[in-house]
Amino acid sequence: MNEAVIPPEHPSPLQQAGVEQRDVLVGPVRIREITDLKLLRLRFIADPSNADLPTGDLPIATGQCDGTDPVILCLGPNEWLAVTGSEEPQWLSQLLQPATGATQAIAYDLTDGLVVLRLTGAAAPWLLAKLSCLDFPAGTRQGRHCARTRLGEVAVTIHYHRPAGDDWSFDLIADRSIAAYLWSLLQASAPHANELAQVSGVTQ
Amino acid sequence: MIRPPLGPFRLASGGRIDRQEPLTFTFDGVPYVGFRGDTLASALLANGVRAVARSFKYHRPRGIFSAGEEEPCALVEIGEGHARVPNCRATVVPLEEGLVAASQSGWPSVNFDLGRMVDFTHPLWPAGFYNKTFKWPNWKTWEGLVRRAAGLGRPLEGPDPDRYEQVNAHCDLLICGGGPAGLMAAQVAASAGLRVILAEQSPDCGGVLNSENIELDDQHGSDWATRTVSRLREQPNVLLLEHTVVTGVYDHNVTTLLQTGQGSTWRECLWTVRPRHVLLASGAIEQGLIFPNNDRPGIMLAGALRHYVNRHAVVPGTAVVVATNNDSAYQTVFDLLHLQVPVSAVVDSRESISPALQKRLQMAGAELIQGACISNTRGFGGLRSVRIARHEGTDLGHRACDLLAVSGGWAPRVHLLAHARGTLRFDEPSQSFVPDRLPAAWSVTGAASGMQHLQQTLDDAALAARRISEQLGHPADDLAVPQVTRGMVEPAEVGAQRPTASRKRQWIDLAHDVTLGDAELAVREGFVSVEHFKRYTTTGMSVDQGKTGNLNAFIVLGALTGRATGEVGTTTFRPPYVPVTLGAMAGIRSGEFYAPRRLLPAHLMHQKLQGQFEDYGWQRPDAYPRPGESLHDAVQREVLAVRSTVGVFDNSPIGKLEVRGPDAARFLDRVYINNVSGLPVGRVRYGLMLNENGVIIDDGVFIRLAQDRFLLNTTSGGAGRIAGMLEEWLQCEWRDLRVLVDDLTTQWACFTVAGPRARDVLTALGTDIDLAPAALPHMAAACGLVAALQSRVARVSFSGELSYEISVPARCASALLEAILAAGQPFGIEPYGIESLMVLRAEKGYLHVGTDTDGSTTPDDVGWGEVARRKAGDFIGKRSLERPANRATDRKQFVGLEPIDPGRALRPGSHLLIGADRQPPAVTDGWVTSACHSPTLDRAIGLAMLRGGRSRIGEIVTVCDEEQRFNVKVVAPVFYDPANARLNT
Repeated sequence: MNEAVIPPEHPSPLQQAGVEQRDVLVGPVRIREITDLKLLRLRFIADPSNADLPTGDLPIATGQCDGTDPVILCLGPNEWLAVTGSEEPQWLSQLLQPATGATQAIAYDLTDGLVVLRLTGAAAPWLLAKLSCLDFPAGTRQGRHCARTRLGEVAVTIHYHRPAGDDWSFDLIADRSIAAYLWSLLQASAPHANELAQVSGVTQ
Repeated sequence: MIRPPLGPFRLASGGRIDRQEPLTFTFDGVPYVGFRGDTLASALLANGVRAVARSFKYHRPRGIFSAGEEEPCALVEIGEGHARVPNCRATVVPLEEGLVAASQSGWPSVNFDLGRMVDFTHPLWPAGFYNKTFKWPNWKTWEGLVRRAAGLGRPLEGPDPDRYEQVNAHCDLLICGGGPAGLMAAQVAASAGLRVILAEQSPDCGGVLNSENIELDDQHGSDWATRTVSRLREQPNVLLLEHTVVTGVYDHNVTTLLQTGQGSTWRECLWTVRPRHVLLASGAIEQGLIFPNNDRPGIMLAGALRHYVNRHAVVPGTAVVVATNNDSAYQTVFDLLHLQVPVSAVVDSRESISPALQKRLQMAGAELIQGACISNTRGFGGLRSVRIARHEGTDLGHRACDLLAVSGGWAPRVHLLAHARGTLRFDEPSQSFVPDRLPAAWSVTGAASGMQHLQQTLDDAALAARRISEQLGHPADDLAVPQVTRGMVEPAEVGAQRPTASRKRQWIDLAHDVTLGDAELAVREGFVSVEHFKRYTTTGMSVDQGKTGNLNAFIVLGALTGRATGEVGTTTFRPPYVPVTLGAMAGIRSGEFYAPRRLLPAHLMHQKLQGQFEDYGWQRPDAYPRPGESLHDAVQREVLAVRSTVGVFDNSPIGKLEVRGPDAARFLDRVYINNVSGLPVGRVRYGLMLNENGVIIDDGVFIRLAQDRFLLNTTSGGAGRIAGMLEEWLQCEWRDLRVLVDDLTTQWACFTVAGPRARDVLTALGTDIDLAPAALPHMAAACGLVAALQSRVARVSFSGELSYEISVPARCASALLEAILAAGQPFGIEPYGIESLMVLRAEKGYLHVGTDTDGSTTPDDVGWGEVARRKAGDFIGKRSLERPANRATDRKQFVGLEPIDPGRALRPGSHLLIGADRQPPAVTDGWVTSACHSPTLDRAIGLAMLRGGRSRIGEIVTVCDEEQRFNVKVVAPVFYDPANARLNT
């Protein structure tokens, strides 16, 4: 872990950019900033002669997601993002327990470097389809998963999940510095996404 | 025939228009009335408007020739002011209430155009005339005149007010075309459970079913189309896109579709579709006939005339002649005669015609002239009569007419297939190019594949969809194919194009005014390859891309060169299939969404401090001008504040890469030209990174945080690029190293407190870090609390002053900046921006990679050669530094410049010539890379790359700044505190 200890009273990425309304409804799409999550990047430094990383229970297929708190997103080979709502990451040592001996497990706290925007509603897949070339409507059939892609010109990780009592929703995890841009882009694109959803449904 | 009040050429009944909804519109300022369901073209024809444009080159009057996107003549402007759109094809513009349309060529008007002088002097303007003529004195002399004369619309003078959208989609099957074949295939594929997207360019699906009197299962074809569309719309796995043209097919069948908004907040939407399979069901385009003066208003394609008659209830003439080389035009005759519109003659270029047709025509009472052609037409502003002759020249007299329907056969719409690199072959019976070899995951059906019979089309489309469904793992059930109970006359065998021997002009390409004479000239001049022929004559190169003329051009070229048409081949059809607006390509990416705007974590604070922002990849303040203060003055003030007291700079964008692992030092030894392994923990070093060619690609300091852990600072714009490069070396070349690279740039905010009072400010902030010079000397780092925030402090400087870089989690940025400003207030602290920083570092002679270096600069060029040479181990680019060119003594080297006149400003980019008072032309000896007025030295200074620069210290060289020449003295690049006394305070 790095040395960052975040005083809770400091502003979120959108607040820092001057965005006051951080939970909006554009037609049936709800866009909001999620600020109560901790984001940790997990990696292993392993002896190259040992091909298998001691990943324990971590998902190993790119795009796969496991767990509830923390949720572990497999972003690529030897690269995971842990998303958690708990303040004290007690789970971390357990999670990284298999990393012993010649293998060193590393967790970077990226909570301050990233922003999380959540999209929910029937038109959310079309909103994403407007900005990214991935097949989001088909993705809903796959269940929970994640992907790294570009929305407009912005690099994002998309975590597709179903919070308790909610519709399917998408968490967009992006660089903190473009939070305001992405926020505006999503809002500007939402009306057409709603139009598409009305005309075409979401199963297309 | 009864003439209704709304439009002199509108039939009293019939058509698929809503007569309950009349729409008013204007063309060239004249008000007209049409109906919902009309296109602009059909409404103009209904109102008797014949000439709607002037031709591209000769300024001849042109009317409406076709009924679809293939229109070569009727290009008009739609809208007014900034919303005006040029080059719209009137044939595909849906009529709307209040539509404003205007002709875009012809001066003073489209009906009386002085530009027609060119037509009267046409022998002076053959093909290629401008290539041959307008090169003296140069093309630029003539360009403005030629462009104005060409009359292809005017660009907008202001920002486009329309909104454009974009969307991506995936599907199993993309069907291009919503005619009978497309609808049939969609039904079958949808029933099999495929995800289907069907794109139809018209406002409604059905194709010929909506414009011909066809019956399927004893019901009108348009009713079957309407029912089928309703069923498809109910299917959740079908996306039906009307008003949508497939514009291009690219690698892996990535396909673009252009959708036109109807009553939407957006004008156009560009779809990017990634289908698993593409089914081309795009139909065929009727071709024109080549005969003298075949371009007059009143001459139109026979199929287009049927379209206007049957779909829009418009008969745009009172006396009709039909000229053809195939059977399909006979359907036009029968449809007109059915409506009691007289047809004076049917001129068929073929010697033999089926007896059944002859009999049917005889019964209808129309005169048939076989083995003949149109030998001339008359009518200054529009068609008045045609002259008919046998092929051998026997004159058969003239026929008075104001409407001539022509048909030169049908060409399958194979453009999209060609985009996907499918091949074509020439089919003699239909005299057209038809699909030959199909690309992977492609199928073609219906008229697009050369089929002429509707029943065959429907059967084949159903079969193709079943086959595709099976291939994609979704076997389809048998679906009943409707039976054609009333068809239309099909083209049958098409006669060859037989241009007459007349010396009068015979148009091949109406859009670009290319005539048979131009083709003959091109062949005489040796342009016999179809690609050369196209470029010399410009046939097929206009807005319509030769959709109604290309085939005839290929046939003519074959005839002129004694080759079969198949041997001539075709030109290359490239995307887009129809013109696509730049707005649609840009989508939402304009204005505030033109590019991502990266904000500093303390952006709001900088706004409050009146920062003047500029985009450096991040929105960063150049400086903080006070009210009434210029940017230059603000920079001078801020620089002096840093030199005299203290300043604070937001350095958050600086790249922050963490490199960890047992082999981290070994890895970085190979990355930097500097020694890394020997750096103690808690110490900082400046380093240069090279590429394999030995060229500097990045620089910055690196901090050893632990034995196996480093923090690399890269240039602000280089963080992602360098992280990617390091990852590539680790993954591809040095897989044995146990190292991880992670980009943590945005996790940390970073503020530089610089100036003689910097230590005082940090002390006032409150910190548990020992700031004593012995404990934290220049180029050292420590972690601890600063302003009660967990921080990382590095004593490094890019200003030449005592300087601390304080890094805190990004969330704390505003809090820290606020605290620094408060703590620094007693010392007169000033925030300073990028422009001020650039002056500070220029005074100190610090290199700015990308500004002072370019794609050829090596370490030795900037004075770091000795460091690179001394390093024992290998590093990226080391071998290249040994190349003779990189060791040459006359390479351009980093130096300082002082104008002889201290007030004379230097400008970056100015060239240098060795020696005083030199005058160009001469080979440049270097250039100014950075320049400013130094408030500290109160004089202009500059940094430069100069040939053999280090050996020229003290010499005078000439600066060439555009037209100005002046002398400067070459000096060492460090202007300020060369002994580094201030750094080591």
